[in-house]
Amino acid sequence: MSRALNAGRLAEWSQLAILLALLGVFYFVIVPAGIEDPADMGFDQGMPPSFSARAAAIVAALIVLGRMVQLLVGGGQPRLSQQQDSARLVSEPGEEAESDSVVISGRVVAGIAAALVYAYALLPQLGFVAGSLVLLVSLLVMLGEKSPFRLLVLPMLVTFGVWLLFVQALGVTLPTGALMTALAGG
Amino acid sequence: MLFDQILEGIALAITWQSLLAVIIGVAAGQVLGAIPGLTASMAVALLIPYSFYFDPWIGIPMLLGMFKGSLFGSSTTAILIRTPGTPAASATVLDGYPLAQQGKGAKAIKMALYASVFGDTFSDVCLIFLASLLAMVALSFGPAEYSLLIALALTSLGLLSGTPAWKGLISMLLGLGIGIIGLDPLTASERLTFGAPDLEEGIGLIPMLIGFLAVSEVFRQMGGSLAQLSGKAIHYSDNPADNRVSGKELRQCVPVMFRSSAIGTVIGAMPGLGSTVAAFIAYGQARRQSREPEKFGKGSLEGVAAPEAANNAVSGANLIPLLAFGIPGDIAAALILSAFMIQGINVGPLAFSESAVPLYAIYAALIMANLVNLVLGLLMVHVARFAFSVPRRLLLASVLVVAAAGSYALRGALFDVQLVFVFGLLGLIMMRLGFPTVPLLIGFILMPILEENLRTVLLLASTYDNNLLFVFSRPAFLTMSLLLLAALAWLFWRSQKRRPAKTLSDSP
Repeated sequence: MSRALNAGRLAEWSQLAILLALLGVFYFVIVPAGIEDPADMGFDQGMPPSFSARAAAIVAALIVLGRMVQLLVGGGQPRLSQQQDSARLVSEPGEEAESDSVVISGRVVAGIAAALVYAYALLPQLGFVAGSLVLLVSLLVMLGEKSPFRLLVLPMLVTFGVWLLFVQALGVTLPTGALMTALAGG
Repeated sequence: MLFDQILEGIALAITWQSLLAVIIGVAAGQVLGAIPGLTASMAVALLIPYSFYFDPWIGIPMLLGMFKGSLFGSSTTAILIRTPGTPAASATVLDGYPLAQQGKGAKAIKMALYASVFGDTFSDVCLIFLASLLAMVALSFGPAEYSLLIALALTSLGLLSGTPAWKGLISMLLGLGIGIIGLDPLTASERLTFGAPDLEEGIGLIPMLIGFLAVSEVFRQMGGSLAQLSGKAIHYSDNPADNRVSGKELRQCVPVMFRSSAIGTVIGAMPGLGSTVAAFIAYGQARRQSREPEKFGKGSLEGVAAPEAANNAVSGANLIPLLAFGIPGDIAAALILSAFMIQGINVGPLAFSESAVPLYAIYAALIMANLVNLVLGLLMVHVARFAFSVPRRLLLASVLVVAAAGSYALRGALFDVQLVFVFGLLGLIMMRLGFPTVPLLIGFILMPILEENLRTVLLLASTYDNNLLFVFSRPAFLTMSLLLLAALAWLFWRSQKRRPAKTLSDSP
C-alpha cells in the first residue's frame, strides 16, 4: 500500500473522528442551549422545534459511523473525486489542472483576512465607497499588481461602476459608514 | 381555457421589455461566462439580487437568458484556453482545445454554440411536455409522498455529488442544519439564534448562494500562481474555412447532437447526476458510434458537439422536477428556484392546476433565450478572445465588492455582507476537505418544505392512533417506496459494477 494511500486514509479517518466529535457537541451542547422545546409538546402536535436538528445530527452520525465501519472492513478506498478525475483528463502530464487545486497559501489567508476586515470594519466604519477602494487596492497588491496607474485607476473604476449601478440606476442605499457620517456631520 | 392560458403566458413573457432583458441577460452571461474565473453559477448568483429590482417578467427572462448565455460562455474558455468555466465543460476541452491549437478556435466555438442551442431546445421541448404530465401525477401527492420525494432527491444528490459519497450526504445534512436557524414555523420559538436578532428571520438565501458559489471560488482562485492571474491573448486562423462550420460538417454532427441531447435530458431529469456526468457519457457514446473515432482527442467536431449538446440538455431537463414538483435537481435549478421565490412565483403541481400562466411564460422565455443565445453567440465568437485579456486579479477583487453590494442591497443589512464572507470561508474549507457545496445549498433550500411536510405527516398520524405506517395505505406512497427501493438497488449495483476507481496510490 503506497504512502499516498495511507495519507489519504489517515486524512479521512481524522475528518471522520473530528466530525463525530463536532456532531456530539452539536447534539448534546448546542441544540439544548439553542432550542427550547415546549414541555408538553408531543409528536401528535406536529414536531418539537428541536426534532429536525436532532434528527439531522443522528443521521449524520450514522453516516460517519457507517463509513468508519466500511473503512475498517477495507471496503472503501479513498479515491479521486469526479471533479479531480475530469480535471486530470483535461490537464497535460506534469501540469496541475486549475480546477483541481484548493491551495490555502499565505496569499489566500491574507485575501480572506482582507475580506473579513472589509465586512466587519471597513464597511461599517468607512462605508461602501472608501471601504471598497481600500479593499480593492489591498487585494490588487496581494495578487501581484505592480503598476501604480492600475492600482489607482482600476479600484476607482470598479467602485464607481458598482456605486453608479446600485445607487443611481437601482436606487439602493449602500453603507455610508459611521465614521464618514460623523465626519460629514461634524 | 388551456389555449387562453398558453397565449396569456406567451404574451406575458414575449414583450419588447422582456426581449431586451433576455438580450442583456444572454450577453452578460456569455461575457461573464467567457471570463476565466467567473463560473456560470457564480455569475448568476452574483446577479440574482439585481433581478429583484425588476418586474418578474423582466427579471426572470433575464436570469434564464443569463444562465443559458453563461453556459455557452464557459465553453469558450474550455475551447480557447483549456480552462472550463464549469466542470460540465471539461469534456469539451478534449477536442475543443486541440481545434483551438490548430487555429480553428472559432470553428470549435461555433460548433459548441449550435450544439448548445440544439441541446437546450431539445430539453426545453421535453420539459414543456413532461412537466405538466408529471405535475398531474404530483397532484395526487400528499405530505407523505412529498416528504419521501424530497428525501429521495436529497439522498441521491448527496450520494452522487460527493466522492466518497458520505461527504455529499454530510454536506446535504449541514445545509438542512443551517436551514433550521431562525424562528420555528409552528411554535415561533427561536432555534439556534442564541439571541441574535439578525438570525430570527433565518439565514438569507442570497448570502448563502453568493458566499458558497462566488466568494469561496474567489478565495480558491487566489491560491493560483501569479501567471494565472494575468490575462492571455488568443489568435484565430486567417483561413475563413477554419473559422466557420460548413453545412456538411453540421449535418455530420446532427445525429450526435440528437443522441447527446437525449442522454442529457434523461440524466438532467434525475436529481444529482449533473451535467458533467452527461457530458462525459455523451462524449464516450459519440466516440463509440463515430465513423472517425481516431480523430477524437485530436480535434473532432463531433467531440465538441456531443458534450455541449448533453450538458446544455441537462440544464433544461433539470427544470422538469423543479416545475412539476417544486424540487430543484441541481444548482442551476436551485438558483432559478431562488429567483422565483424572491419574485413570488410559485412552481410545483398546484401552480399547474391553479394558474399555469406563469409556467407558460417561463417556457416562452426559455425558447426566446435559446434563439437570442444563438444570435448573440455568433457575435461572441469574436468577443471571446478579448475577454481573456482581462487580468484575473482585477476580476477576483471586483467580485468581492459586487458580492458585498448585492448581498447588502436586498435587506440593507451589513449582517448579510458579513455572512457572505463567512460562508465564502466555510465554502473554501469544505472544498479543501473535499466536501461538495451544492448538496448543502439544495438541502438548505428544501429544508422548510421538508419540515413542513413531515410535520403534517405527524399530525395526520395522530388521527391513526399515532401509527406512522398509515402512509403505506396510500397507493402513491407505496408506489414511490417501491421506486425508491429499485433506485437504491440500482445505485448499489452501479457502485459494485463500476470500473475500479483510480485510487490515491495512482497519484504521482
